Amino acid sequence: MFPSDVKDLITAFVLIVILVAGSAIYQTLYKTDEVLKEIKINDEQDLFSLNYLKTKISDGSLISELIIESENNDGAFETLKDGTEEIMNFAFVEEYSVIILYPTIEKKFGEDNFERYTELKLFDKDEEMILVKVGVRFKEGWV
Amino acid sequence: MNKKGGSTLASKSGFYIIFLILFTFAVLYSVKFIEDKEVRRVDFFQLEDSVVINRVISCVSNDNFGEIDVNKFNEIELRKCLTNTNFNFIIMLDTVDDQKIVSIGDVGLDYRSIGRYVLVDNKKARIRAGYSKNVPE
Repeated sequence: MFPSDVKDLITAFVLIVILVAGSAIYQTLYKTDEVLKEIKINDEQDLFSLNYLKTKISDGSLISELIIESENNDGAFETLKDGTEEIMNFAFVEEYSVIILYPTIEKKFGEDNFERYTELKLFDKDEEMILVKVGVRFKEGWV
Repeated sequence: MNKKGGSTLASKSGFYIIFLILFTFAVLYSVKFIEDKEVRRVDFFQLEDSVVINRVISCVSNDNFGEIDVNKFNEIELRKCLTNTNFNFIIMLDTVDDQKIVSIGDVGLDYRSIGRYVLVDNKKARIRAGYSKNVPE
């Protein structure tokens, strides 16, 4: 073995030591915190929202029809709010939020602090899309 | 390895070391973005609740999931869907002016219970399923 080969071996060894030490130091300095994420299924809100739109309230109106009508009709909007309250009470909903995005305006009622909304689409008489966002929080022990 | 080549390597070893330090940190910095330290927790009781109630609703629904056909809400129809003998069920359907109850097996006193908002003839209704298992958890 030549003296130059010994130098190469020493260099290789030093490089490996640096690689290992560098990894260890880096992992110590930049330790990533573990994030605990709870997976929630939340399918009760989706089913509720879909059925909410299809519900016929006590005066015989469908919620989806009232939503469409409410764009330019304040009376229909008041009926919609009353009908919604009726459904929410029946379905053991503690808090709710309904946001309706018409092509030009937005109407909403209920609370306004929901992390997750279920989005549903309706079409008005002019085939323009209305986006309905529903957020609900059920009473403890119901769902 | 000849003497000239060996001395060339030795003379450049400083550069190699600097290169490797930079390379190591670059790789590890990239790994930091790639590695996933997120721990996902699934509540299997909640998952089981969801499976049970969705199966019950599907069993008694008409063509649209969540729209209940009251003619299907009976023990014979429900037994067709809930064939697992390890589970006991009590299922309640509440409408504004009526309540129906179907039992399959004996749920006992200690059972899990889940409710959903459904429709009967487009009118508001609630379905609630209670279930218990004959097998140890």
